[in-house]
Amino acid sequence: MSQDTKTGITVGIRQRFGNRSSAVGALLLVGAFAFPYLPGTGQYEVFLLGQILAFAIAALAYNVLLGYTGLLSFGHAAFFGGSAYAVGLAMQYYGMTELLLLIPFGVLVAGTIAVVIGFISVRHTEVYYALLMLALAHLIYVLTVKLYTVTGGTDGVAITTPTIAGVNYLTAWGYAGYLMGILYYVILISFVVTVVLLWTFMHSPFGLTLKTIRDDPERARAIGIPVRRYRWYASIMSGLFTGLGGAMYAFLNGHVTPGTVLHWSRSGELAFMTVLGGTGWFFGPITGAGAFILIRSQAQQLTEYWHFMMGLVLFLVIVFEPEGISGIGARIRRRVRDWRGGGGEQ
Amino acid sequence: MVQQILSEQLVIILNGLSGAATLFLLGTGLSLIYGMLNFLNLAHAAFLPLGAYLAASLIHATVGAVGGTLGFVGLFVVFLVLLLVVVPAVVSIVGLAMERTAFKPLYGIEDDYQLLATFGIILMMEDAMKFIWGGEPVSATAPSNLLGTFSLPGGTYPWWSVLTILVTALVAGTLYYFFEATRLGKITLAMAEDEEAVGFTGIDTRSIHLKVFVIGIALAALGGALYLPTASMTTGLALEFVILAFAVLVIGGLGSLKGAIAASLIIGMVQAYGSYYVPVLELALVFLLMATIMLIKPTGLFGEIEA
Amino acid sequence: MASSFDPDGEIVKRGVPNIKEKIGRRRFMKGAGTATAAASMGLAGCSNPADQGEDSSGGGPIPDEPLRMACIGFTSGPASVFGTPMMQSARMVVDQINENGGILGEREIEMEEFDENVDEVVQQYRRLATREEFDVIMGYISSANVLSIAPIAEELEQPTVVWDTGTTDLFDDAVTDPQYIFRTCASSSTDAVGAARLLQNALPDVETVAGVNQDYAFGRNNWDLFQRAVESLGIDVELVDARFTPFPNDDYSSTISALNDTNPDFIYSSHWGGDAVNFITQANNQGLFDDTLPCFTAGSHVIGNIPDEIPEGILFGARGPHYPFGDQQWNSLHGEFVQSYQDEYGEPPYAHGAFHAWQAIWAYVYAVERAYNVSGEYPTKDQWVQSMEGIGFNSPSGFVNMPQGSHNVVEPSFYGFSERQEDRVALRDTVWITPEHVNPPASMSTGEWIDNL
Repeated sequence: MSQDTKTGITVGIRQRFGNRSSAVGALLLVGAFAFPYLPGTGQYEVFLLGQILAFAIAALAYNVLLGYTGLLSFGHAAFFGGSAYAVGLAMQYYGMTELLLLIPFGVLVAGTIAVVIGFISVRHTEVYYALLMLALAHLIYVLTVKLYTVTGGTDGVAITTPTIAGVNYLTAWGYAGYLMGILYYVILISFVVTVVLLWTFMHSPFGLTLKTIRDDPERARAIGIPVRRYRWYASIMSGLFTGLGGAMYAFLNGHVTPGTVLHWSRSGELAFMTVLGGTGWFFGPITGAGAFILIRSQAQQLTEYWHFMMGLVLFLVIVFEPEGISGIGARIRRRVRDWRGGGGEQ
Repeated sequence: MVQQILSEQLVIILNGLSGAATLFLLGTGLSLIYGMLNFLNLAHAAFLPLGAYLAASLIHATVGAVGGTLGFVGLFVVFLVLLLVVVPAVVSIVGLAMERTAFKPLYGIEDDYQLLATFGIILMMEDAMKFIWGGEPVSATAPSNLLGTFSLPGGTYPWWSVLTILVTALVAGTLYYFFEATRLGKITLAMAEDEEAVGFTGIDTRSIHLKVFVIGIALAALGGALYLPTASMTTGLALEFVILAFAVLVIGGLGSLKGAIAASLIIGMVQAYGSYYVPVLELALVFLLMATIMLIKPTGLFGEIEA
Repeated sequence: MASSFDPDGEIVKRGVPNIKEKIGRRRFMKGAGTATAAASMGLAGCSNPADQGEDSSGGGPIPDEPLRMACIGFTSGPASVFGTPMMQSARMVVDQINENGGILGEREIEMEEFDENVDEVVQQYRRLATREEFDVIMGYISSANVLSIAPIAEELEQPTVVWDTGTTDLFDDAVTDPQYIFRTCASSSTDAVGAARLLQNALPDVETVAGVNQDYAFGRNNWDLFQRAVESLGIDVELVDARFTPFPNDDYSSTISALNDTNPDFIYSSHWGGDAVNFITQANNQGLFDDTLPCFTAGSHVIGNIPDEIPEGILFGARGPHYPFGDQQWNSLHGEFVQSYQDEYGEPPYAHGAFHAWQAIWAYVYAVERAYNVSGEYPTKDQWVQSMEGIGFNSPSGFVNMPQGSHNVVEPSFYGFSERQEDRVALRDTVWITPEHVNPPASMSTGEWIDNL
C-alpha cells in the first residue's frame, strides 16, 4: 500500500478526517477537559495524563520532521531540554515566576537553538542529519553538565511553582488544586493549540511542500522548491513545538536535570514514541506518547530489566509493525469494514 | 627542563595512542559494516563490553585453575591466546547468532529505522550483560600485572598499554593489506560500490557479508579484551562507547578504513592532550571537533559516500 | 609520604567511634521531645530507644495491616554498586524485624523494591505516594533525584526517608524547612570537612594537595566543600590542582600523567564505583601512589571489587564509619550485622550503602516505637515526624542521632589506611572526628558554617 515511497515504511500521511473520527475526537477532548472531575481520578492520574500530553506535544512536533519531512533527528533533546532549562534558569536568575511569560521564553529559546543547529544540520540528510543533530545536541548536554556553577551540573535546576496571570494558585488552592485545577488545563490547552496549529500547517501548501520533499527530494528540487530552506523551516517549527512540550514537562515535573531532558537518549525516546504511534498518521504520535509512557511505567514496576523490555518493544515495532499502533488500528478498521461489507474485496 | 618536557610529551603521546587503539578497534567495525553492508548498527559498540566481560571471566577462571602451576611465559602465552583469539572467536559466534536473528531483518530498511531498531538492541544487550555479570564493576588485571611496568621520569607506565598499541597497529596493517591486496578485500570494496553487480558475477555476496560482519565484531571484542587488563567494565559504559564509536565514524568518514585510523588517532590525542592540559573541556572538545568536521567536510576526513 | 596518622588535637581521635560517646547521649536526651520522655529515657542505659520511655502497657491499638514501605535504590546502572547491597541489606533488616513480630513486636513491614534508575523519577515517586499510598518511602542515592522529589514529599506530606544521598543542597536549598522528609545518613560535609580536618590535625607533613573528582554534581559539591573548608580553617597547604574527570570514564592515563608531573603530597578524591576502580588500577600502573597519598572519601566499597589492586597504606573513607573490617570492632551490632550479611549473601558488606539501609529502616521503626512508648498511641504521620526529630540510637556504625531542629542525621567522619590481611583488606590506624566538627548546627546552612569555621 505504500509502494510509492522509497522504503515502504513511511506511508502517506493520512489526510482524511471523516465525520466519525471528528466525533470521536470531540468526545475525547470533552473527556480530557472533564478528566480531573471524573470519579476515581486522583492527583497522580492527572499528573500522568499531563505528562502524556506534554510528550504528545513534543512527539507531534517530532513527527513534523520524521513523518512529514523524512528527517530522523537524534538531537531533539536540545529543544526539549533547552526550553525546560530556559524556564528553570530564568526562574533562578531573573526571578521570573509568571507562567505566561516563561512559556514563550522557553519556546523562543528552543526556537533559537533550532534556528542555529537546524541551519547547520539541514545541509545534510538521512544518517548524516541524524548524526550531526546528535553531535550538536550532545555538545549542549556536555556543556550543561560542565558549567556546574551556572547550571547546577547534573543536579539540574528546580522549577518552582509559577504564578499564572499574576495569580498565585499554589497559595490559593494548594498544590493539588493548582495541579488539577490550572496547570493541567494549561497543558491541555497548549496541546490543543499545538494540534490545531500543526494540523493547519501540515495541510497548508507548506505541509504539502514538505511531503513533496520527503517523497522525492530530487523532483522537488527540479520543480523549483528550495529543499534545504524548507527543511530548515521544518526543523524550526519542530523545535518550537518540542520546546513547548519541554516547558510543559518542566512545570509538571518541578525539576529538570541534564540526564532527564538533554541527554541523547531523550531524543531516542521521542523517536521511539513517534514510531510506536505511527509516523504515517497525524495523530499517531499522540497514541505513541501515551502508549510509551504507560508501557514504560508498567515495565518498571514489573522488572529491574525494564530497559530490555523497552528495547524489545522498539525492535519488534520496527521489524513487524513499522507503521506503529496507528497502523494496527487502521488494519483492524479495514478488517471490520471488509467484514461488514461482506468481505472479500480490498 | 627540555628533558622533562620531552618525557611529559612522551607519556601523553603514549596515552593518546593507547586510547586511539581502543577507539580504532571499536570504530572500525562500525565503519566497515556501514560502508560495506550499508547497515548502521548502533549496537555494534556493545560488543566491546561483551568482549571485556568475557575476558574478565576467562582470566579469573585461568588464574583460579592454573595460575600457580604455569611459569611466567606459560601463563602469559595462555593469556594471549585467551584474549587475542578465544574472546574474539566466542564473541564472533554470539555476533553471528545475533546476525541471523536480530540484525538480518533490518538490512533492507532505511538507515533511520536501522538506527532506532539497533538502539533497541543495545538496550537489550546492556541488560543481558548486566544479568550475566551483575552491576558491579568487573576487572581482571592479572595479564597487565604479569607484564609489569617500565620507568619513565615522573612515574611508571604499563607494558600492557604498549602491547595494546602494538597489537592494534598490527591489526590495522593487516586490514589495510587485506583490503588493498587480497581478492576478498577487493570484492568487498566492489560490493560497497555496487553489490548487485558483484552478485551477478556469481560471487556469494551473503557469505562475504557475514565475513565482514564477523571481522567487525571480532575487532570490537578484541578491543574489549585488550582494554580490560588496565581498566574495569561496568553497566552503562556501553552507551558511552556508542557515542565514541560514532565520533570515529563521523570524523573518519563512513566506511573508510583510513578514516577510522585517522579519526581514532585524532580523538585519542585530543582526549589525551585535553585531559592533560584542559581537563575541564575534555569531552566537549571531542564533540566540538565532530561538529566542526561535519561542517567543513560533511563526509568526514576520508569518507566518499555521499548521503 | 609516611602513611600513618599523627593526630595532635582533640578533634581527631584514633580508633572507632565510641558507642558511649557522652555528647551523643546528652544530645539524644535533649531531642526526646517531652520532659517525661526525656527523664525516663535518661535512665535507660540500653541502646534501643524503643525500650525507652514509659512502658504504657495497655496502650492504644496497633494497626493490624502491615506497614507498607517502598524502598528505592539503583539496582541497575553504575550506582548499583551502592544500590544492590543497600537493597539486600534492607531486605535482610526487614526480614529480621518481621521474624521478631514486626514493629512493636506486632506490626509486620511489607517492603517493596523499586529501581531508582528510571527516566521519570517524579512520576515514580508520585505514583508510590498517591496511587499506591505507601506509608513511608525510603531511598535515593542520586542527588539529582532527591532534589527532584524533596519538594514533592513536602507538598504531598509523604513521610520520606533519604538513605544515602550526600548533597548538602537537600536541606540548604531544595527544602529549607523540612517537615516530612528526613535524611538518615550524613551529608557530604562529613567527608569533605573531615578530610580537611585530617590534613590539619593528623597529616602535618602534607604540603601540596590536588583534587580529582568526577565531573558531576557529587564530585563538584565535594571538592567545593573541601576547598572552602581548607581555606576557612586556614590550613597550611597549597591546592596545586583540581581536576574533574568525565563521569563515567574509562581512561585516566592522562589525568594521572598530569598528577605525576604536579606530584602533590595528597589527593582528595570522591570517586566511586567503576570510575574509582579504573582510577586506582591505572594509577597503580603509572606509579602515582608511590609518593602521593590519595584519600578516597567515598570509595571504600571498591575494595570488595578489586582487593588485589588496593595498594597498602592508602586512605579510605566510607561516608561515615561504615566498613566491615578494621583494627577494632565497632560494637556488637557491627559484628552481628557484618556476620548476618555475610551469611545471607556470601560476601561482606563492603558498600556503605548496606549500613545506610540499616540506619534508615531502624530510624523509622525506632521513631514509631518511641512515640508509641511515650504516648501509648500508635503514632500518626505527624507524631512520627515529631518522634523522628531528635531520634538517636546505636547502629552497627556507632551512635547515630538527629540533632534537635534538624532533619539530617549527623555521623562522625571516619578514615583509615588500607591494610592487606590474609584474604581481605582491612582499614588500620582508623581515626574519627566527632559529628559536631564536621557537620553544621541545625540553625546554619553548610556553606555558611564552613566559611565561618
